[in-house]
Amino acid sequence: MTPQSEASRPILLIDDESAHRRIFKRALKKAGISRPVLECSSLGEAKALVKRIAAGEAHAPVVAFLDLNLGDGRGTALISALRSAVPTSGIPILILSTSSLERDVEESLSLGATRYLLKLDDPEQFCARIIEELHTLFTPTNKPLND
Amino acid sequence: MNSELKPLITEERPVSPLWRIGSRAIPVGFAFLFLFFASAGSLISFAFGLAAVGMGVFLGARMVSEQYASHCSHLMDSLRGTLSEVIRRTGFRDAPKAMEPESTPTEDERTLLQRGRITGTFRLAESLDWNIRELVRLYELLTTNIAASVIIFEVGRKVTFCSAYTQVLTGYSQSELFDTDRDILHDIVVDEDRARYERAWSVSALGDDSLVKYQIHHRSGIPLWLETRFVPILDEQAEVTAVMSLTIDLTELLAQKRQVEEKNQDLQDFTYMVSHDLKAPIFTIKGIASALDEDYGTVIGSEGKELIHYIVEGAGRLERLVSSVLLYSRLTTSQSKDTVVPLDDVLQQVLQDFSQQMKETQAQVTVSALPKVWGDPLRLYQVFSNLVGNAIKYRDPSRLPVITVHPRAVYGGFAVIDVTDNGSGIPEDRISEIFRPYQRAHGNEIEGSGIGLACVKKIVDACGGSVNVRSQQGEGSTFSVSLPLPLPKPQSVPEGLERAFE
Repeated sequence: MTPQSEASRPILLIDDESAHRRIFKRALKKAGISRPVLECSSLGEAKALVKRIAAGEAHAPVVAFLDLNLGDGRGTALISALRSAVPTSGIPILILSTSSLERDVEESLSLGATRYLLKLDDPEQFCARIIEELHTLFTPTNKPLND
Repeated sequence: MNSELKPLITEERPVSPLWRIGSRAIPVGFAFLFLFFASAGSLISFAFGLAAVGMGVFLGARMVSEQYASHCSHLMDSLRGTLSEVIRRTGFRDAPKAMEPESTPTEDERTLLQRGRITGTFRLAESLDWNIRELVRLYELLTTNIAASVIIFEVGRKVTFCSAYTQVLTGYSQSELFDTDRDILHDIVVDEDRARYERAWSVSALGDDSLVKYQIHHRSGIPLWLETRFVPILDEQAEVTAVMSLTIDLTELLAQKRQVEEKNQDLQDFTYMVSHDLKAPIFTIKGIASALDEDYGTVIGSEGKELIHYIVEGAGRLERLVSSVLLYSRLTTSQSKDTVVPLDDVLQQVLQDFSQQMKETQAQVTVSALPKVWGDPLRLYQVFSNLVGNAIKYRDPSRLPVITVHPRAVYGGFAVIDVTDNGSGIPEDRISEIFRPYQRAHGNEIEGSGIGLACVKKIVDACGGSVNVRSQQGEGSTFSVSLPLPLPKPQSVPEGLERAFE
């Protein structure tokens, strides 16, 4: 892809709680990140989207944020789906979860997640953390791909 | 268990008194008769002779009766010994009459004495007979009704005794078990457990008790869980002559245990799930409330901001509550990572984390040099952070908090650490409950989840230690925690034994 289209590639956000997506988008806006956000509120919806991305029918995201507890299933299934689709095989996948269970962390990382971020008790702190992650990813000196 | 098994009756059988009289008194009488015939040869002398025979018989009988009396008293001693042995071994409390001390006979009352001795001997024998019958009755009662299989094997594995219940446990009749030279149990033990069963058998054949849990296929095909204790039977030279197996059925017990474990697991999962799922809406409440505060603060004004503050505060309290429940449930679901932990480091971390609170409350916390213990550093942190935290939280408002952490004793592989405060103390009627979850000594006037001390107890119990408290209301409390000291690797237990005792 050309550098221009690279800058307009969207951020993928998969979370079944609309309020959490709202908090997330607000944090992006506050941080001045103006990329479009592709939102999915269920596992089914996200799977369909990943299929379209794989087929070149939808824009490939530059980074994916993924909640583990989705209403219709576990988000871990999407990690493999994203990793096996060519356009998203190398993008950073960040897990957002309230679960601090070791097996959730281990499973996510072994399936190919880039980082595991706990939805902390303090949403403000949590948002700051996400923005920090995004800045690190998008700083020109850092290659965003392949963590 | 292996006391020398003496035969109960050791004395020879008494010889019939008639034979005694015949063998002694009659020859003596005839000797007198012959003497008189030889010297006089007359009728008179024959009459004398007869008298002499009478006298001889009398003297002989007297001699015999004395001998017989001494024999009786011998026999009585022996019976008395046997009887007390029977009483000692069977535990019968019913002391027979013959055991009552006899009155001391006067020197002249030989006949009475003799009669007394004979009567005494008979009474003793009767009593012994009664005791032995009672013993046999009890023995039969036990072996036919006990819900355990008792089998005695020769060292070569031949069955020499087999109790009735064995048939219930195995499905094989006593005669089937007797007829073979093989241990049928060995054949019906499931393949995975046979090696352990055999190992336990061998341990006992070498002279030690052993215990083994294993599964068998009952003749009907039903799998059963059994527990067998093998006990070696030793002779006087301490050689193993036989092995006794005592077997009980654990199937029901284990099924119940499994049920309880499953229910417990369900409960744990449920607790985890609920407390975990509560976190997401708390995140929403806090996040949206602070967005509202930030983005619309000017619109809703200072009163609106104050109301938002209550939302955030309430959500925060809910959050802490949920976290503590999660923490408690995770003590069960997650594995502790034990290592050598210097308690000094743990307390340093605790003090650091409480420095703000200590400053605010002007608490004076003194920590003595502490030993190294064996445990999970994170969990030990939880223990002391809870105890120190409580000491600050439940301070007496009328005085500055003084808290000491002090190693009271080191013994038996454990270190006892005292955490003492001069706080408000615990009401006496609440002391027994404070280590149970959701039991709070101070009601709701001071915020707390009611889970802190339950966590402390759970952690300490899990590493084999203990925690207890002494408290005087109005004066303060001392929590004593005993924790295992780090030891060199424990001596290895023969494989199988450790599983047998698991």
